[in-house]
Amino acid sequence: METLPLVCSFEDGCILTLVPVDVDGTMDEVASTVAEHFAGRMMPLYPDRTLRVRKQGDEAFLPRDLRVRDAGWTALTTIQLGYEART
Amino acid sequence: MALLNRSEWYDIARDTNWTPSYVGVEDIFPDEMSDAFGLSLDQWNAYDEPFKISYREYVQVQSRKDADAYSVKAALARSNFYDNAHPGWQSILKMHFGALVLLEYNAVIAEAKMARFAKAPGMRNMATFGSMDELRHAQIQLYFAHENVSKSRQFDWAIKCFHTQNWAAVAGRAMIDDLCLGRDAATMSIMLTFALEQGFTNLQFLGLAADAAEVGDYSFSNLISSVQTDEARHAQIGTAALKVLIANGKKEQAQRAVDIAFWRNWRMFMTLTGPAIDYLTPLEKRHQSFKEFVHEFIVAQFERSLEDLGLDKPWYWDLFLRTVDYFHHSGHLELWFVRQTLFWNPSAGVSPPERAWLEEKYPGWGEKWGRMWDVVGQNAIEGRDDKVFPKTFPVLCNVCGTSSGGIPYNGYHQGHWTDHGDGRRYYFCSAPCKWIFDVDPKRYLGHLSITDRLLAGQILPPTVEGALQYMGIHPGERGADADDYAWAHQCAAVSPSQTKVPHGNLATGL
Repeated sequence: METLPLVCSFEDGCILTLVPVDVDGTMDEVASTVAEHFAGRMMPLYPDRTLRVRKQGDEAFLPRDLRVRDAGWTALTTIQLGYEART
Repeated sequence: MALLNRSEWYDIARDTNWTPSYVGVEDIFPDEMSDAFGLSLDQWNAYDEPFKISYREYVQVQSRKDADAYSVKAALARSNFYDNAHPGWQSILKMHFGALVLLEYNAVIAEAKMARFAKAPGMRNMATFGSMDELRHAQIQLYFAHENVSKSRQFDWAIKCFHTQNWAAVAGRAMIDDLCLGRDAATMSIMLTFALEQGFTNLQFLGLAADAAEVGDYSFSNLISSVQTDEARHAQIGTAALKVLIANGKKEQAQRAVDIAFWRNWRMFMTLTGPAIDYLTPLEKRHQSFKEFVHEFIVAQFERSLEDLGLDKPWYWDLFLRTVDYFHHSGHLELWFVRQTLFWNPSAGVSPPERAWLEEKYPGWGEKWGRMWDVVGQNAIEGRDDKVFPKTFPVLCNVCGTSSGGIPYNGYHQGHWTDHGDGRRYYFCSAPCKWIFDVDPKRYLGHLSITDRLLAGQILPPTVEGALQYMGIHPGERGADADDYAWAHQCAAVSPSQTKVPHGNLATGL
């Protein structure tokens, strides 16, 4: 598995963590991988809510099926996890 | 024969600035070693140190100080204070001796460099005594710490910490090399004696001494108070240098040196002293909060010092004041998580009464950090070791070497980074650290934090255990929760519903 190290934060959190992700993974898989280092560890995990990925500083989340290798990221790109707003 | 008064001979005895004829002034005082500001010897001759002392007086005073400190230690030798001390206080002692003692040796060299290369005769004289001060600080603190080596392997490790690749040692060495060893004498006088010693050491040596007296550690309290009396004297070196620089049109450059050093020191003191005062000190013995200490010993005093000199407050002063409220709370949480990398046992410091104290001192603490500790506590109670230790690495700042820290439940954004064109991405904990990098990137380009070393393939296997091995910290030396999670059980007993936060199972829950 080819991995890409990302700098990750969580919208409710307060630290930056280095997380390697599978370059063939989707954003949903990135969310799952990265969330393990935050949600349920320092912040509550809400299993009924959907975690999404966005690039640091962006408001909009990235498409859930977008693959890492197609996202244009390089090593140490900063991403942020957040819960999708309830509709 | 009657002796002359000191004032009648002092200026002559310290002045060796004759006009050289065998070599040039630039050979004796090269700018890169002496004075990056480029003032002449004549301009530096105006340097007037406010605290004058002769060797005879120095020896008499220091002898008395040593006698006092050692006699208190001897008198209390049989008290078994350490054995009966609160675990949090034991951790503070390990942290203090590990983080500071060998840095004092670096300060010996820094003062010696000023003693040799400063263009001002008065600065050379003061720095000569300053170098001897620092030698005393290193040796007396090593001596006091050594008696505890037999009581804990962590004390042994603390004393060798600076010879390891521990992340904190890497950050500490980088800071002291940058501010105190890798600069010219004039800049060092600002960064070491003005920004660090005048700006911050009161916090460590007077604030902590007050807490030490409260917990009954009179030996340690007396020791660090004794150290601080030296600091108060040689910290004057930089003030006098700043007066000369400002009088000769170098205010802008001097201000920059102050701004760089103040922030670097703040990051280090925030990371270590903040948690020590607000989380590790036994609650019933806390003298003041870290925030109150910072406002008393740093904000008020340093602002007055800057104003007296005609300097401005650092450009990030408003940010600094805001960070007093939150940086160290996030830093403490992260330190606790990476406790295996520490040579002390951090107290979580969040039992119900401690939470009440934190809420009183930092209104809103519970809604931010308290909520996070609820999750941590529940995992601790349930024995979820997979949740109460990290599986990966924090991202450390490429200037100060400490982790970034935001405010939880506040939409944390961290946007301080730069691509310098050398294939590396540099991360910074804050805007001031990025600014420090941008002022002089080449100072920091070659430095690798532990995170960078992992990415560079220097830590194998690239796992947390691999990193612990790389740092040279082994089972029995690694930090553990100081209270064995008693705080979590106390919280659950007081408010069971508070700790019942959703923490799910990520493997199946998403």
